[in-house]
Formats: sequence, C-alpha cells, structure tokens
Amino acid sequence: MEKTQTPPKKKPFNNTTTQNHHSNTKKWADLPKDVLHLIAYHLDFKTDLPRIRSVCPSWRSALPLADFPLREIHLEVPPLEYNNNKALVPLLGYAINTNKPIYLLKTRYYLFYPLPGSPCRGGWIARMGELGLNKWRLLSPLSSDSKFKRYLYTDPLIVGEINLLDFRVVELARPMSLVYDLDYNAQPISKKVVQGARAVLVLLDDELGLMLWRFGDHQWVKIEDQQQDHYVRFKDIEFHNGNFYAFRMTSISQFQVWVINPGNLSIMKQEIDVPGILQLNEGKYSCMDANFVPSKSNGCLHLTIDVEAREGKICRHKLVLMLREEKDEMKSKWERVENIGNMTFFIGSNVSFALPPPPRSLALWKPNSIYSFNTSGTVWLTRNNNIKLASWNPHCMSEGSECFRRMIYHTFKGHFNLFIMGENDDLVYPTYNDYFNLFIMNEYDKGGDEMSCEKRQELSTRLFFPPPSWVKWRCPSLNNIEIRLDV
Amino acid sequence: MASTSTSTLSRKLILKSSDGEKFEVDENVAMQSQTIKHMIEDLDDINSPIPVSIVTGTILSKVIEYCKKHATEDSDSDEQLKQWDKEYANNMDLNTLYYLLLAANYMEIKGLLELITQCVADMIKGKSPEEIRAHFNIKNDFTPQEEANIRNENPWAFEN
Repeated sequence: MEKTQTPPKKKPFNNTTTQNHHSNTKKWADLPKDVLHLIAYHLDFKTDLPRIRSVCPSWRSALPLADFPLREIHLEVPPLEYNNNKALVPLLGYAINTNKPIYLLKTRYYLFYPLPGSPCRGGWIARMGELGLNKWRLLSPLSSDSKFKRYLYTDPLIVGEINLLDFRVVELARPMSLVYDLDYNAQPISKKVVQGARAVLVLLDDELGLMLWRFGDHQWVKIEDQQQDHYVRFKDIEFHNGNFYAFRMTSISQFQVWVINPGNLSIMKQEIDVPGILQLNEGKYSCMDANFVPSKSNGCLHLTIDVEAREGKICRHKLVLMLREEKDEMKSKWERVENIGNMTFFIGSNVSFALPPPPRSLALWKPNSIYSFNTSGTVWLTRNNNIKLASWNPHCMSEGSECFRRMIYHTFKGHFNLFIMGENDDLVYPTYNDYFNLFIMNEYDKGGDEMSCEKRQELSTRLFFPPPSWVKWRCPSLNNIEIRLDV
Repeated sequence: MASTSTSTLSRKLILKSSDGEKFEVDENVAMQSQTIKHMIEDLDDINSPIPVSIVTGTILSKVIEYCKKHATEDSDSDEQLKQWDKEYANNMDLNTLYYLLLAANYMEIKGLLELITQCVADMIKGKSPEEIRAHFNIKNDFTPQEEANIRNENPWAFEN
C-alpha cells in the first residue's frame, strides 16, 4: 500500500472493507497482511504461530513461515573475563577457559494439557531444548546445575510425539545455561542464569560469584562488593521489573538482597531480618536455602528462605517473603506472607516459577503449596553385550531421574518384555514425585512441617512424571515401532 | 515538542469521516497519523475538511480520543498512560476493535496500531485454531485434504 502517494479522495482499500458491505465471517479472515504480521509478532512463534496459520487459508497465505525466522537457541557471549582481560581465577581450580567461545543455551518449561472436549486426560510439564523446527530434546525438569539430564533413560532411545494443535501449551519459564558446547549433554558452567531486557546475570560457582553481561558489550562485569574484599556466596538470583536481585548471607545472622541496576550497575542492599521475623535466638539457626520465585500471575517477586533452627530440637522453617515495591526504590521492602493464595511455587535448582491455578479439568497441583526437590546421587547406564542393562543404585538415585523398569512394544504377538532396566525385578522404581518436597503453606501455619513420604505420595502431582498417555512414543532404531510405556 | 507546539497548537484541522461526520481537532492531535501528516503537506487549503475515506464517524471519534490523550504529554506518567491504553482497549467490543485496527493501519498511527494488535494477539494467545475461529467468527474453509496436511505439519517430536 502506497499510502503516501494516495490522493485523499481515492480509497486505498476496496469496498469490501467498508462496514456496510462486509459479511461478518469474512471480516477478520480478510485482515490486511501487514496487520496480521503485526499481530503475529506479539505471539509466540513456537506455539501460537502454527495455530494462527491453521485458522483459515487467507491467514495461512498471509503468514508464510519464511517470514518468521527461527530464533537462535543460543547466544554467543564474550569470554569470561572482565576489567581489561582480568580472567576469572577460581579458587578451586574450576575449569574455566577464557579462550574458548562461550554460549548461553536456552531451554524451556512448557505446560501441556488437552483442549476442552478432548478425550485426553491429564497435563504435563516438560523441560526441553530446541533441536530444530518442531523438534525438541526432552530434559529432566529437575536436573541440577551440574548437568543437563535426559528425561527418560531408555536403551535404545525412544521419541515422543504430540500434535501441537490438540493441546494447550503454556510457556512457564525459559532458563538458560552458560556452556562451552552447544549441546544439551554439555556441562554448564553456570549455576543459574537470569535474563533481563538488556542484560543477563550469571551465578557461577560459589567462589566466582556474579557476572553480568549487557547485550552487545565486549566484556562481562563482575558484580562485587567494593568495601569487602572477601568473597560472598550468593544463594540465588532473579530478574524483576528492570533490576536483578541476588540473595546472600553476609554472616550466619545477616540476610541480604542485592538489587542490581543493569543500566548504571549500582547495587542497593536490602537487609532481611529473618531471626526477627521468626523470633529466633541469636546463633541458633542457619540458612539452608533461599530461592526467588517470580510470578507472572500477580507480577510480584517472592523469596523463600529455608531456615534450620536449633532450639532444643531441630526445626525447619520455610519463610515466604514478597517484595513490596515503592516508587522510591530505597523504600521497597520484603514482607512476610502467610500464604501464597492460589499459586503454586515450583523451585528447581536453576529455575523457579509460580504456577497459576490449575485449569478446572486437571487438578494437577495443589494451590498454596511449594514444590522443591532433593538432590542426591547419579544414575549409571551400562551396556552388557546384547542385553541392555541399566544398573540402578537406590542409594545413589539422581534427583529427577527416572529409569523405566520395562517397556512393552506391541506389534509383536502378545506383550513382550523387550528392555529390562535393572537387574532385580523386585526393585521399586521411584518417580520424580518421590524426590519432591511438598510444602503446604496452611499446614505450616498450623505448626506442621513438610509432608511425610506417605503423604507426599498421596499428594503426588504427576506434574512431570509419568508422561501422560497422549504422548505417543516410538523407537527410531526399530523402524519407528510404537512403544507403550508401562509405568 | 515544546518549541513546535507554540506555533502549531492554535491550528485546527477538520477531519471528515466516510459517512460525512466532521471533527475539528488540533493539528498536533491529527499529526499523530502519518497518513494525515502527508495529506496536509500536499494540501493547498488547510481549512477544507480532510477526508478519512474508510473510517466511519464512530470509529474516527475513538481514534481521535486516543490521539488526544497521546498528544498531551502533561502530568501523566508512562505508567498512567499505559493504564489508560489498557482501559481504552478493554472497553472496545470485537467489532469496534476490528475497524479501529483498519483505521489505525490506514491512518498510520503507530501507537494505536501497536496497542490494538497487542490486544488482538492477547485474544489469540494459547487458543486452538477452532477456538480462534469461534472467537473471531471466521469460517474454516480449508478443504479436508488441506486440513490433514496442516495437521501433519504440526507434530512436536521429543527426543530423549
């Protein structure tokens, strides 16, 4: 449309777009191409674009896939050095190579659930890394900072599939990891990465602290305390409303949040009087963990602090604070909240998010509760001649890992145990949920504590595992034979 | 902004809608439309009504309401303006939204176009094709064969 040359009297659109002559069903279908493009640019290219392209032929032809380039799954960043090539020197000889190219590798957490009226049941939260158009690598949603882990350990590998058009897809989080290799098997260098509008903040190993990179800069900035030369350990970081937040303990009794402005790099320190809030005696407690939880539904930043108090007996407290923001940032402060309403917090090791109330069709997670998980051990997979074996040590089970006991594939006559995972069939294999700590705020208020193991089972979320039956599995190395997971 | 407004504030323009309704507006209000800005440059007589051919009076009054709000940069903070935009868009029914979208596109009012496309995108977000059709009253005129092809394009494969 060459609007600038159009004489005022000449109509740039033909008559079909005027109000009177336009049938209602054609109206939206006939939106001008450039308007449709503007709308599409506000949408998620991965999930919404394929859907709007499936609405009607005119939208489809107006929005060719070629107009929407695949966004990079990674970001190349400068080498990890700062202040005129002063390389990061880790105290414990941590393997940081400043000459190698380094990347931020993106992963995503999606919630899938069936559309209304679908015969499918149940929902699924999956963590995945993009491999290409509509191709993903499933990752353990609970894997710790040390390594990406697979969602399932099977041998040979199996591939799951769903049709995007049949499910609701909600993006929950988009965590990134700092890696040397663009590979979901890579070992991340970062403990946690959070992305702001124009910068990223990286929490490295304890001794290395915080590094900030502003998009386009040639160097990282080390975030450190000018007055104190001893290093400080940060427990967690987050981005919220234009600022980065970092939690740390200055001593056994001092809890501090740093508010880092990525623009001018100023640091504002907020003290949090945890012992005061919990009415604990001096020196009789320690901070076990602290996590920020951002919530899209109320737009607030939360902070959970796990405190272990030793007064007679050992007692664990979980303290939930919410940032009360003021126009004057200096006056913003953290306030304790008694409950988190209908939200559910999920706390992973390198990502945390608040789940909105579950859709009515799936009561998957419990409102006003917090999910975090235990860490311990590793899974070993070995090959033993032709028999595929996974040895499993119950005392060394990796957090969030899952071994399948058997898989049954059924084009053979009858059912047939093809893969035996584990030498002893009597072993009870754990699911992800066994490794969850479920913390219900109301129970806590009544003086209760975390759920016991049995109760945990009862309240099993099945958020991550097992995958719902509507994910269809096949085995590429066996002629794409259909696989049913027997879990 | 301040330096130009003293000379232009007093100038008034008359906009004429497709159904003949006339609106007198300050030049700086109308100038938010790139289309009108270009028209004025070509115009000999600034006092004659400027026809906004495809926009009806009802819609044009809404467009002007938006432009007026965004022309006066007085006490409103960005936050307040955002809030106003939100309420403005939320008060529109789907039909009005549609014509407002066409009007903003034709008149080239960047802010309004951004606002309305965002609003429409929010309606689409997360919906299935069938739900989008139902929401916007769009007929599904794919052939069964086309529809099958589209379905085949949209599997998500999860490797392990």
